[in-house]
Formats: sequence, C-alpha cells, structure tokens
Amino acid sequence: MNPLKDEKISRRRAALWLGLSPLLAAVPRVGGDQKPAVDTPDGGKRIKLPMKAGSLRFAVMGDTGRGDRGQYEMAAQMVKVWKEYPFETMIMVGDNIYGGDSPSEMTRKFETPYKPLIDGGVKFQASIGNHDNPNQRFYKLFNMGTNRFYTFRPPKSQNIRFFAIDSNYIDKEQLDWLERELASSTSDWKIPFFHHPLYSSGATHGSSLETRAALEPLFVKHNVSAVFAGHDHFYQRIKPQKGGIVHWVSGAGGSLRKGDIRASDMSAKNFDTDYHFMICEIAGDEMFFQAISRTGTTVDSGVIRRQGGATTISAPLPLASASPVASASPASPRPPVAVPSLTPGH
Amino acid sequence: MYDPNAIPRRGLARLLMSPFAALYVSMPAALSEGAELDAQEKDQAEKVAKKLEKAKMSHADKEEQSAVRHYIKEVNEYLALQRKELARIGSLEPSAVQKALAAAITAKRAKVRQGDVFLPEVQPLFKRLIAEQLKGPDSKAAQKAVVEGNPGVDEDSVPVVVRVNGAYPQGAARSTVPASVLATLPEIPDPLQYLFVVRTLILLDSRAQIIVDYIPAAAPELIQ
Repeated sequence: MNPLKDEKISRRRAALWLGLSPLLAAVPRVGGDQKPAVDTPDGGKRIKLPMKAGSLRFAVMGDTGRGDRGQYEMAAQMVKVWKEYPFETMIMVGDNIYGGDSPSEMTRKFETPYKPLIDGGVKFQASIGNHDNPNQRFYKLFNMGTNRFYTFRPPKSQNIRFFAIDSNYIDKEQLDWLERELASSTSDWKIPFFHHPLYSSGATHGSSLETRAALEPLFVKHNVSAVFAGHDHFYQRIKPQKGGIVHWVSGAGGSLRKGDIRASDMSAKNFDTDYHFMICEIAGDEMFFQAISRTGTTVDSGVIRRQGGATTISAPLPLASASPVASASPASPRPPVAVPSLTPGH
Repeated sequence: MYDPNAIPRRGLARLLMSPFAALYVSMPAALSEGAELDAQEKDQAEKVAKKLEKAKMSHADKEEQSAVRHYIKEVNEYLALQRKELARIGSLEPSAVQKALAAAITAKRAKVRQGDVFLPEVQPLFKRLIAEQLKGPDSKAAQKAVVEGNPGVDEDSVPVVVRVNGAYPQGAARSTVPASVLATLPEIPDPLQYLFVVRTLILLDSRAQIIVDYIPAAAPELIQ
C-alpha cells in the first residue's frame, strides 16, 4: 500500500512514520482543505451520532443486492450498528437486486441478509438503479407505493422529506413532479436520493453530468441540503457544491471497486478499500452522519448545519457521549414503526 | 504542473528536514491532476446544462408532427391492450404479473413486426433528435450516459437480443437515457420507456419487460 495515496493514510501519520518532526507533520496538505482523519482509541467502532431525543435516525445503503458473502458480511455489520443505533428508516440508492429477481432471489438478495432489520421494524425505502428491474416498485418491502419516483416524510418528522428519484429515466413527467413536490414541501430538510451521482470522482463512472444538468437547478432553487447517490462502488463525501448542497456517493453496500477513486479537489473524504454503509441523524437544524465499513470502522463522520438558508459542514465528529447507546438497544424486536406519509409519483 | 506555492514549503522542508522529507511535502502531482480534471468537468457541466436548455426548445416540423401523431396513436393502441391484459391477470406477486402479462401480450401481438409502432415515417425524426444530442463536441456526457449500463457494455449485464416481443431479460442492465434526449423525443406514458441497447433504440414495456418495437442504429457511433 502506498502510504501517500489519497486519504487512506493521513499525511500526518505518514510523516510521523518516516521519523520526521511534528513541525513537518503539521504542514497542510497541498491543495486540500481537510484535516487528517482522527483515530479513535477504540478503532473508530463507536457510534458517533448524538442520539438526541426526538431526532430522525436513518441509514443509507447502495449497490447491495448480489446475495454474496460481501453483502452478507456488510449486512451483519449493519445489524450490529442498528442494535446500538436503532435507525428507523433505510434509504436504498439503487442497484438493490442484481441479476434475477424471482421470489427466491429476492429472499436471497434482500430478505435474508436484512431479516433482523426487517423484523425489527426498519422501513426500507428504495430507489431504482440501472441494474434493477423497474417492477421492484411493486415489491412491498421496498415501500415505493408502486411508483418509480415518490416522496415520503418519515414518521414523527414534520420537518424532513425524502424524494426518491428514478435517475435512469429523467423524463418531463418526473421533472414536473419533482418541481411540484419540492416547491410545495414546507420541510426544512429536503433530501433527494437516487442512483447516479451528480458528483463523483469514480474512474469507472464519475459524475453524471446529464443528470446533474436536469436535477441540480431544482435542488438549488428549492433549498435542498443533502443528496445521496450510489452507482460508483465506494464511499465519497463531496465538498458542498452549488447551493451549498452536500453530496454523497454511497455505493458499496454489497459491491466494491477497490482503488477506483481518482484524485479530485471536490472530494472531502474517500474510502474505496472495503464495503460501507451510512447512518445519519437529523435533529433540528443539524444532520449528523457517519460512514461505517464492513469491519465496523468509522471511515467518515461529521455534521451539516443549516443556518439561515445556508449549509455548513464540520467533520469529523468527536465521539458521542457514551450515555444512551446501550439503553436504546432494540435487541428484541421493536413494534413496527408507523407507515410514512407517501406522495406518489409514478 | 508548476505550483508556485510549493516552493516556500520545499525550501522550508529542505532547511529543517532531510531531502526525503522535502520530496514528501512537495508532491503536488496527484492533486494538480485532480484539479485539472475537476476544471474540465466543471467546464463540461456548464456546456451540458446549456445543451439541455436548448434541447427543451427542440421541435418537430409540420410533417414530422403528423408522423408523431400517428406514432402516438400506435402507442395508445398498445397501451389499451396492455391495460386490458393487466386487468384480466389481476392481483399476483410482481414477477408473476410480469410473466403472465408478457405471455398474454406477445400472444396477442404475434404478427407485429419491427416498424409497426415506430412507423417508418417517424423513424427519421427519432434519428435526427437523438443525433442532435449525441453528436458534436458537447455530447460527450450524453454519450457516456448511454454507454453506462448499456447491456452491450456493462460488465454485470447479460446480453439482450433485440426483437419485437422479445424479453428484456432478467439481469440485463439499463442504459441511462440522457435527460437531453428525453427532453426531445415524443413523450410516452408510463410504463413505456425508451432505452438504448448498444445503438438500437427500443420501446420497452417496463411492466411486462418486453420489447414493443425498436429502431436499429438510432444512435450515432458512441464513445466507449
């Protein structure tokens, strides 16, 4: 492994390894604005989100459905995290089921690996990727309400609305619907999620510029704060772009393309050496996030703050106070959560 | 790339540290490359945004509009058949509905041939509109979108055999149909969709997962 490559190992640590003085280690990274990752004494395995009372807790996964060992190991880690951090909603950024999608395949590629979460009342909300059969919108556990694009407000969250977009096919009908829904939403937090990233440094796919041209003006116009996508099989947090919007690529929930991230100044954090998923928490004007790898290591964390229409971001997060994690554990199945309000598209 | 900011750091490092350390702190190469790619992307994104706005203004002439009306009539006839069969099948598990619907429609359309929906008089219009978005110096992003996920290219995809009433097979990836292309083509209702298989434009019934009709070589040569 090249210790100087990207952010896999921080320059500060690399400098120290080379036996250099702390003065050199403090020289800022050329062209970068980011502090090196902070190692936590416990290997970064603890939940860093604050778990505030009344907050919305959700998770994000993408490019999952292969039914292979990698997906199953990542799913097992999700369950471990959920026991400490009981998120209520899982948004899926597409490529939910690769290959066949017969009932037995749906069991193998979705229902079995995520069974503890499904049984525990986690509501999966899917969007469609380029490897998905569009008929997944009729699959009940994906909660799409038979629509290829739709919006929903999670239970108990008056101020947050998600928009599931079909980025494979952004036709006039969908754009008109999106404009209408974004305009009529009074939620402070408007969070679109879909498959093809508007910003990505992936060597294989990269930014979807046609999709960006169609969607970004609407996001900026209607004060979107955060956007989640997949498609590229790694984790990447993009520095705030137009409208101060923070974009994530979270496309390695069951697929991985090692070493696929190319050098880019628009990237704030990269991770392309293992699978991952994300947990998030929205409390008032703050959205906390944490990306966790298959082995349970925290690969990124931070908080977005909405301040008078603008968005600021701080990362990484310090460790959360140890208090409520254990007491919130849903080791036994929790009662099902309420059905979110769903506004259909098509 | 020349980086004037690196010089003071390099000097400082040389004074304080070993030459090896100086080499370490003065490595701007990868980041410069990244900045250059970012600048190229930004420039391209602006062109794509302008191209999309222009595409929304695209329109067919009088003769072409007549061809579009006939095409839409064929589309509506297909949809009427599809809805009738769907109602007859009733409520089943999603993959069972897809299978039953495909069987019913292909049986009813056994004599349909290529060009029966994409009528010969409308095909030149489709080719022209697609070429306007996929040819030329600002079309790189649109071409990339078509190539990505195209079952003729995607490594995770099974191949698709294009024929009228043919199945869009399980495990076949879907190309992204660029927003600029969709902005120009005649609008069709859900669950019908336009899709590219290599350079062929297919009309897909996404509910039955069958190919309703297609236009061969509808797209120009694409970058890979």
